Amino acid sequence: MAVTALLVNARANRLRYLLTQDGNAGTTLTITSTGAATPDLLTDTTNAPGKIRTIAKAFTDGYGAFPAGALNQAQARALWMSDRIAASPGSTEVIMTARCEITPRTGATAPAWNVDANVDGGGHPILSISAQAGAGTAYLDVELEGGAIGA
Amino acid sequence: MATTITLVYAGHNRLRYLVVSDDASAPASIPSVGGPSPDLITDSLAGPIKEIASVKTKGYGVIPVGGITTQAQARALLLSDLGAGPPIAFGQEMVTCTSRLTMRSGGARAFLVDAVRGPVDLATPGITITPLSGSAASAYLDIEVGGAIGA
Repeated sequence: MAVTALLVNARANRLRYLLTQDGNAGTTLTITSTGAATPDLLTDTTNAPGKIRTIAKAFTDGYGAFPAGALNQAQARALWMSDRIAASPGSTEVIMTARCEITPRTGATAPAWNVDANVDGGGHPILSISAQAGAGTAYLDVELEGGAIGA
Repeated sequence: MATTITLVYAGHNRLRYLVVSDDASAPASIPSVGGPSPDLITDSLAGPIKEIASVKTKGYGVIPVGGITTQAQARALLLSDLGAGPPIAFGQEMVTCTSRLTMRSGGARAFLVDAVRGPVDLATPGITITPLSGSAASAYLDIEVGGAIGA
């Protein structure tokens, strides 16, 4: 696979992954939230229970006004990108949401990194990381929006 | 123009620098030796960033007085990358920093950020900024303790 993610830090309110693009074609990585092998938002918060894990369990337990069950992309973006403009329930729902941020670390011809939230065929939220072809590494932070105490 | 790094905000748990460059051959660094700004000891207020930067003279958590001996330790302290394992590994209850860039002007993702030994004193951790483009670009570099009260 051209893009891989290694969990390097897990706290109650923040996950940090080291992303690696090996330079080959096929430049999209999916981080799931089903309890699958890492990288997976449920699996990776097993030893760091907190709000990130609560959000990752939105499909099974619901979250705030988001009912349990299949979500759509707008709702996934609301939960994981703190982009609530198109989601229902929208920004009037007072709940904590997460955001994703990428900082490149290495790569003389460093690829441009992109991260977005979507859902898989069953409605489970996923994070999609894409990169142009070009060897390099970067850190992906999945964290609570708004600076929660004890990241 | 060489790459310049200018302190624009100093809080107890966050430092913000403005990084400006239009020269891909001119990387710049922020050491931790108490020299002229930019320097993590000089620029930080009392708090965990100063404690981390002073690891050589005061030790920090599992790192004894004498300072760091590997780049992995520098990355653990300044990038919160604990993926290299002992003596800094998951479960160690040490506050660590993250270092992230937000582009202000110029092309997409024109800089790389990494943590290194030195570069002035190899027993101390530092940040290196590598510009990728010969085109003018600027960005904010945040070195911060995530989720701490009082940025």
